[in-house]
Amino acid sequence: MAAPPASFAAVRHLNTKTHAAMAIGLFTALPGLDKPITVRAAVIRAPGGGTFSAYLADTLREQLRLAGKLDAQSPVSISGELVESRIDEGVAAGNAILAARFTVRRGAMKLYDKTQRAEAHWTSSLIGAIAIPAAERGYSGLFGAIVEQLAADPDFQRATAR
Amino acid sequence: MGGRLMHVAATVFRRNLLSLMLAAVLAFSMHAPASAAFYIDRTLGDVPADKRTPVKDPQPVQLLFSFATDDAPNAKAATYLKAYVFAQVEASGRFKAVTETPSENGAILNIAVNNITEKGAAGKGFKVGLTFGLAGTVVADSYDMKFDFAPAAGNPIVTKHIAHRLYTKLGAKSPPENADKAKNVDDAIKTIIRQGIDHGLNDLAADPGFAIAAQATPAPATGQP
Repeated sequence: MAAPPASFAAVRHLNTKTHAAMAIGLFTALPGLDKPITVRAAVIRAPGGGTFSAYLADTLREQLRLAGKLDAQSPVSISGELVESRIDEGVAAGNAILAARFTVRRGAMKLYDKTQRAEAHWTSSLIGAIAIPAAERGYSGLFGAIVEQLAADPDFQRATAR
Repeated sequence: MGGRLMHVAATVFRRNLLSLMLAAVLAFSMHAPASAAFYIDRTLGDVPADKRTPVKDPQPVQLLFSFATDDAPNAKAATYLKAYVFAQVEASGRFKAVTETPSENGAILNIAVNNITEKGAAGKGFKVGLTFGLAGTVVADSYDMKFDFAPAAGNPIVTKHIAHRLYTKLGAKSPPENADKAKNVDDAIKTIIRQGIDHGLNDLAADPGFAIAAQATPAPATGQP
């Protein structure tokens, strides 16, 4: 998996004047969900040998940075926990599911606590050299998808308003 | 003789498979073995000099770039092309400054490329490999490029679409018509991207919404305080 790509939708939601700058808090995963995922003979790992929960944090961090809303000193911080992560890869079709519970806190006060979930479906192939990259793209795209969902969530926007 | 033939067959198959895997990872012409030749469709080409729309007062802009393969985000391809895309937008002269982080006026240019691969192309490529190139074929990749310009001062988003096409010739087959041969896959994809950006930015510059944005009073950055 490669570095998180820019998301126009997420940046547009995050860069409004009403949003406070935010810090990235702790990102974790339910037991077993941070382990590399095997697809046929290949192993899909998070970039840089990190964990999938760290990749989720990196994806959110990148969109906040591009929106000019990343501030490690901000009292508003976002934490996350991977609660579902799966790739089902067959000869003809593949699908993946990713869900994360996000929490926004301002100091000790919890402002937001909600799970975002996304699915991807793709046409697979008998040929591993085609099927494995397709599975990796389908799965890795979900990290951006749930960050876009989070950024677009009116509850999140209210919670992170200045 | 039989052993030598098997060795040649194994070498051709291995070379094709390795190239296929590399191309598939980057998702540029995912069916491309080492012996492939790449052709760029002539329909789009470069913007003719007399069709270029000048920008009188270039403004700063934040540039976002993403790449997808068959609608699925392809972060590896985006990383591979990002610096090239930034260089092309900077060289266009249509913006005063091109930055990755928020610009001083809050304007955003989003370039999203979607590579639509030909269905069944992988099977065609393997057939060519297994016949030592005798059963040649040409497969086509489409590139849909979307340009969103979100101006400063809250003006509506201006969107343009550009379509381009890359042909990959495998084995013994006539070259595609109305197409120019590229030196290699890297040259091919960068030509596709360069010509697409050339047209996309020209179309944006010709849009009244773009001109209004350029004339608007720069607003403070929407970034962090």
